[in-house]
Amino acid sequence: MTLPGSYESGPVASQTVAAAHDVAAEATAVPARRRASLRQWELFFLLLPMLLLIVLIFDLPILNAAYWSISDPKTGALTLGHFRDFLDSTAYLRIIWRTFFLSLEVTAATILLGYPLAYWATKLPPRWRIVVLGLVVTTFWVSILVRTYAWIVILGSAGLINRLLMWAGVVSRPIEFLYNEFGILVGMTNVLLPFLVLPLFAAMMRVDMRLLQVAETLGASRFRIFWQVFFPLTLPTLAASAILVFILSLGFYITPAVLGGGRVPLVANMMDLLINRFARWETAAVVSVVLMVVTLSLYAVYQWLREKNA
Amino acid sequence: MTNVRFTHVTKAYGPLRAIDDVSISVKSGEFTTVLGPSGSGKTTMLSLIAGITRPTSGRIDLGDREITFVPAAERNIGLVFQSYALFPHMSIFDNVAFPLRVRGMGAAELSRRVGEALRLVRLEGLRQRKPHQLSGGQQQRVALARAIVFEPAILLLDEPLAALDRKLREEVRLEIRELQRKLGITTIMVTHDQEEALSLSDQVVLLSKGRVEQVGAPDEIYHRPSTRFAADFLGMANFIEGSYHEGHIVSPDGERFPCAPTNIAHGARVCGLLRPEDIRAGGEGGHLAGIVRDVVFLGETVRYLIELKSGRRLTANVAGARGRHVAGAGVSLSWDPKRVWILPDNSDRIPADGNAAVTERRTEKVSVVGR
Repeated sequence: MTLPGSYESGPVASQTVAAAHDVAAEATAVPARRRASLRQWELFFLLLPMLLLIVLIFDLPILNAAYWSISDPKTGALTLGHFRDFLDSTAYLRIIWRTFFLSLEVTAATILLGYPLAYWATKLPPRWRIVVLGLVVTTFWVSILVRTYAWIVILGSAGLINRLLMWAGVVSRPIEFLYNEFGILVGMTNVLLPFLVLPLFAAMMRVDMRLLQVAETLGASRFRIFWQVFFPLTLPTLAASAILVFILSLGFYITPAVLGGGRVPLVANMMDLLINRFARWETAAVVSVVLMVVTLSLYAVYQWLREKNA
Repeated sequence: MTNVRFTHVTKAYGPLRAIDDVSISVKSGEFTTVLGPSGSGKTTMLSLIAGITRPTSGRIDLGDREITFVPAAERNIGLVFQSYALFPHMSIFDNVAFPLRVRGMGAAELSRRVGEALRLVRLEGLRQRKPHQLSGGQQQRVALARAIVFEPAILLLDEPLAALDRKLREEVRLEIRELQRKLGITTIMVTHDQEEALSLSDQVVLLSKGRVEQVGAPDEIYHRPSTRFAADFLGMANFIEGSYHEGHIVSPDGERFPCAPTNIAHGARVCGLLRPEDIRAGGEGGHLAGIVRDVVFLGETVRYLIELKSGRRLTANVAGARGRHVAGAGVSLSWDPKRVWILPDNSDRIPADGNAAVTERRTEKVSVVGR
C-alpha cells in the first residue's frame, strides 16, 4: 500500500527537474523549443493537484508513522526506545518470524502448485489453455472475503472434506484443517496462486521450442532438457513472481483472521491489536517500519530480476 | 561409411503431403543440398532426418542402421537451425560443451574438445561470453561448433545463411564449405537459394511440392535439368519449344534454333533450354536476328532482352560488354548448338504453384545473376 506512492514520486521528481532545466533554457531557445518547454510547464501544473494529493495522502502519513517510531509521544524528542522495546519483547519477534515463515511456506506452496499448473497449461490445445487460465483468473474476480469463507465450507469440521472422509470411514473424528497455520496456508495459497501462474505461463510460452528440439538432437534426455534448458529459462520469472507472492503474503490480514480464527496472529493482525486494543501507536509504527524496509528491499530485488529478465 | 537413405518416405499432415514418396540416398562425406521453394517440404525432410518428426510411411536409414523411429537424442546428428538456437542462459563454452556433458565426458577431455571446436570456428577468445553478446555471424559459428563437437554421423544445416546479411553470408558460406572438407563430415543443407546450393554442394536434391524433381551434381542439374521446373528454378532460362528437325528446333513460327544432333525422332515435339549466358549477341553472322528491347546493366554482365521477328523474346547475358548495344538496335544472335539442352521430360508441370510464382521467382533470380 505504501509502494504505489513512493513508486510514483520517482518519475514525478525527475520531471520537475526537467521542467526547471527548460525554464533556464527558455531565454536562448528558438520559438519551437519554447513551445515544447511551455508544454512541459503546462503538464507540470496539470499534474500538480495529483502530486499534492499523493504527497498528502500517501507519503506524509508514512513519514509520520516513521517519525512516531523514533520519537517520544509526550515530549516529541527523538529516541530509539521504541525499537529497543520491540527488540526486547520476544512476542513481537516471534510473530514477525512466524509471519515470515508462513509467507515462505505460502511461496513454496504456490511454486509447487503453480509451476506444474502453468507448464501443463502451455501443453494444452489453445482452446483449453484459455479455459484453464480463465479458471485461474476467476479467483481474482471473487471477493477475498467470499473466497475465504468458502474454505470454511470446504475444510470446516462439518465441511465437505471432513464429511466425505467420515462417510468413507477414513477417520472417525473430523480433522482440524482450520483455525491453525494449515488453514491459513491453504487460504493464502489460493489467493496468491494467480500472481505466480500468469507470469510463469507467459514466460513459458516465450521459450523457443527450437531450443528444446536442438537439445534433443544434441543427445539430451527429457529430464536434462527440462532441468538444464527449460527450467533455467523460466527461472528469472519464477524468482520474480515468488518474491512478489512473498511480499504480498507478509501483509495478509483477512485470511489469517478468518481461517486462523484469531489463534494464529500474524503481523497485520498484531498491528490491529496494538492499535485498536492497546493503543500502542509507537510500537505499531516500529513494526510498520521494519516491515516496510524488508518489503522495499525485496521489491528492489524483484525489480532487479524483472529488468534482468527483460 | 555413413550415408542417409530415404526409401519411399511420406510425411502427411492431414490431407497435405509435405513429403511425398521420396527416395534418395546421400553418400558418405559428401555435401548435399536440399533445394526447393518455400513449401516444397525441405524443412520437413530435415526434421525427418533429425528425428524431430516421424514419417507417416517409408523408411530412413543411417549407414547400416534403420532410424525411422529412433528418438532424436539417439541419432547422433548435429543440427544447426536458421535461428541458431543457442541456449541464451549458457556461456559460449557451456553451449558447445552441452552435447559432451550429455554424454558424460570427463572435464579434461571435454575442455580439450570444446577448445578444438571453438578454434575450428575461430571463436576461442569468446568462450566466456553469452550468446546475446555475439554478432549474428559469430552466433552461427557457435551453433556450428556445438553441432560438430560431438563428432556426429551427419551434420544438418537448416538455411544456415538466411539470417545473415549478404556480405557475411558469403564469408560464412566459404567457412562452412572449408569446415566440411576439413572434417569430411556428411552434410545435408536445406536452402531455397539456388546460388548457395550450386556453390556449396557435391549433390543437389531439388524438391517441388514434396516430391524429388531431380538429383544430381550442381553442374549437371544446371546444364542438364530433367524438367522445366528444375531448369527454371536453378537460374534464368530461355525455353525453346518446337519440333526437332536435323539438329534444329523449329518453332511454330518457323524460326530455326540450332541444337546438337540427337537421336530424337524427326518432327517430335521438344523443349530446349538455352541459358542466357550461352547466347552471344553480335553485329551479324549469327543464327537469328533480333532487336534489343531492354538493356540491364548488372555489373559483371549486361543482360539484353531481345525480340525475334516472331515476337518471341530471348534473354542474353553478355559478359563485359558495357554499352555495346542500345535499346532498339538490331543484333544477331548465335550460340554453340551443343549448349542447347533438350529437356528429357517435356511435360508442362513447370510451376508448383502457378504462373505468378514463376514470374516472381524469375525477378528474384535476375538479381541473383547480377551479383
